[in-house]
Formats: sequence, structure tokens, C-alpha cells
Amino acid sequence: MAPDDLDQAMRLSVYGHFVRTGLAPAAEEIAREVSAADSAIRDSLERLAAGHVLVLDPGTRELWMAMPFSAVPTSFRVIAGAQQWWANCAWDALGISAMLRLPAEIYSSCSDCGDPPRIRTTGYQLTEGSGVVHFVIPAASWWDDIGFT
Amino acid sequence: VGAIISLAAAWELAGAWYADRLSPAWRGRTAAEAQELFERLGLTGSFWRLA
Repeated sequence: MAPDDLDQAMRLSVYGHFVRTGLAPAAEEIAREVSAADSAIRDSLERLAAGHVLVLDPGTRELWMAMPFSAVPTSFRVIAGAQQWWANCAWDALGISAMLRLPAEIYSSCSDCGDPPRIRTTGYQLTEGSGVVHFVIPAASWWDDIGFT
Repeated sequence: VGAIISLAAAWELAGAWYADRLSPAWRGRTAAEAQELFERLGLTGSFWRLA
């Protein structure tokens, strides 16, 4: 499979797994799904990370983010029916509901008061929730340290 | 420090940003395309400038 085709298949496989399970797939699971060798999967993950399509853990090189999904628990949790996902930030939590077009509840830690504000959406519009979203890092520097952003 | 936007504005941004992410045709945005999206949503000023 040509690298571009593999990267595309990988991307769809990773996102599909997140959508279905709320979890990141293991490299072996992706390898099975796209019928590629582990080494080819690793190379593809690195290319996708270099292109800012995915984010890998700086130490382990395991999948960390497939925006808006997070592979690890965060302060932002999105629940739709029996399924739940972790989001990387408030923007991504809203993004999961908007992307999936699913009615969802969003739980997060309010950075000012510590209360867990609840946001509800229909997947197409907000139905409950108030407050603001605070962006700390200017847009031009988001990818300098995407984990912090 | 930073930028503060309403929850409603963040919802609009999230919807516009991620609407096509699951599409097989998704190819990512250029900086110019991202800047255009920000501007369309009223996110202007130095904080939102990508280059």
C-alpha cells in the first residue's frame, strides 16, 4: 500500500476505533484492520504526527490524541448514551458532540470554581450550559507544545 | 491573559472545526484556510493570527 493510502486508512481506522469504543486502538489492532506490518504502522503514525493529524506521546510514541479525542483521561468527558469519550480541552469536548452529531452531556472541571459545569447538546445545538472558554496560548503557538495547549 | 469566548461561540468554532473530520475526504486545513474560518466566526485580532 502506498504511504499516502496507508496513512489515510490508518487515520480512518484510528478515528473509527475512537468513535466506536471511546478508546485509542493499540498499534496491533490498527495493523490487523489495515492489513499492514507493525513497522509500517509505526512509520505511518509518525508521518501522521508530523502532519499534525494525530499526536503521539513524546516518550512512548503511543497514540495520545486524535483530535478531538484523547487516548488518556482528561478533565473533559463527553457522554452520549452508553458511550463516553475523553476530550483534550473544552473546544474538543464540544467538537466531539458536534462531529458525531450526537446528543451529549459534557462534564469538565471549571478552572475558576472547581464545580463541574454540565453542558448539554443535541449534537446540532447547545441546549444547556453557560460560561466561557478561555484560550491561554495564542493560535500561532498552539503546536509549540500541543499537550500544554 | 489569552482569549475568552462565550460557550456559544466555542460551540460554533468546534462545529466548524470538526464538522468534516471523520470524512474520508478530510485533508486538514492550511493555515490560510484556518485563518479564514476564524475570521468567519469573528475570531480576529493578534491572538487568533496563525502567521
